[in-house]
Amino acid sequence: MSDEIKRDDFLDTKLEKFLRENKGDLPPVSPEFKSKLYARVQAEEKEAMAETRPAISVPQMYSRRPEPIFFRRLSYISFISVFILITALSFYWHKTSLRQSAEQSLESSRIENYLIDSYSVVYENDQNPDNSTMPIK
Amino acid sequence: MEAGYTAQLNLEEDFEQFYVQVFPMIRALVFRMVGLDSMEDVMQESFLRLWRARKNFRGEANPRSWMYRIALSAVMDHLRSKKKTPRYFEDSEKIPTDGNQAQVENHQLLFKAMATLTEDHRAILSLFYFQDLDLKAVSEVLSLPEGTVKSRLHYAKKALLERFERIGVRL
Repeated sequence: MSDEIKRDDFLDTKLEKFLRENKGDLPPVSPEFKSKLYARVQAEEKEAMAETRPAISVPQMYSRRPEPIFFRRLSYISFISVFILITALSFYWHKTSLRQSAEQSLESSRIENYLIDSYSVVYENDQNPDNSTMPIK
Repeated sequence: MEAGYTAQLNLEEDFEQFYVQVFPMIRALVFRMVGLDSMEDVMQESFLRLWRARKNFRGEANPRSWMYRIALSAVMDHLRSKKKTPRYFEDSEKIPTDGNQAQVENHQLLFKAMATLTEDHRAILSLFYFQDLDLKAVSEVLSLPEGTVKSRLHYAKKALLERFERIGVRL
């Protein structure tokens, strides 16, 4: 085991030495390499300049659209007004319908009472024909 | 007109300064990663990426590591799109001939073996041994922890030794 480690270390050292000693020289680039590169850089710079320049002038930009805050406020106000209106209308409708149903039930109970009373008077008159009375209503 | 002329001069100056600073680093890395075939194309792409990115450099990272990271991203994009083995010495006129015959041969054998390694192994060996970056700088370039860089370097060397054995190189 230790022999193997020693061998690995030995090879590692040899390899490192070999790598450091044999870096070699680098091949030259073609003569037009730099000018080609400069042309590309110039084109890039031109493109970048065109992108950063505004497409329309500043006064034009502002006159094109009305004040956005005004519209935003207007929309809030109109939304709140419509909400209040709908709530008020529904409350009014609910109250009216409650009153109507109360009146109807009162009316029907009156009729019912009248009919019961009428029936009881007729019944009593039938039982006592001498002492006949008319229902008082 | 005057402003345009001044801008043109400034651009030329900026370009010249940047070129001198970046060129040797890009050439060394790109050649060792992609070989001769597409070296110039990839160098142009790397340079343009660095040129674009230079305005965003805030000085937080090591400038050298930052440059290598951007150049390496261009190299990796190229290698992934091409999926082919780099050829280092196809054109005999471009073979570096400085040094003695044995050194030239060793150099050629080394790159023959390097060409068969994976992109990751090639990148880590190039950065550590040929670009002379330390472990910390390599970990910054590859955005990996130092421990991972160490283990990758170990496996890369192991793979290179295997290739050497296969092509009959004796260290």
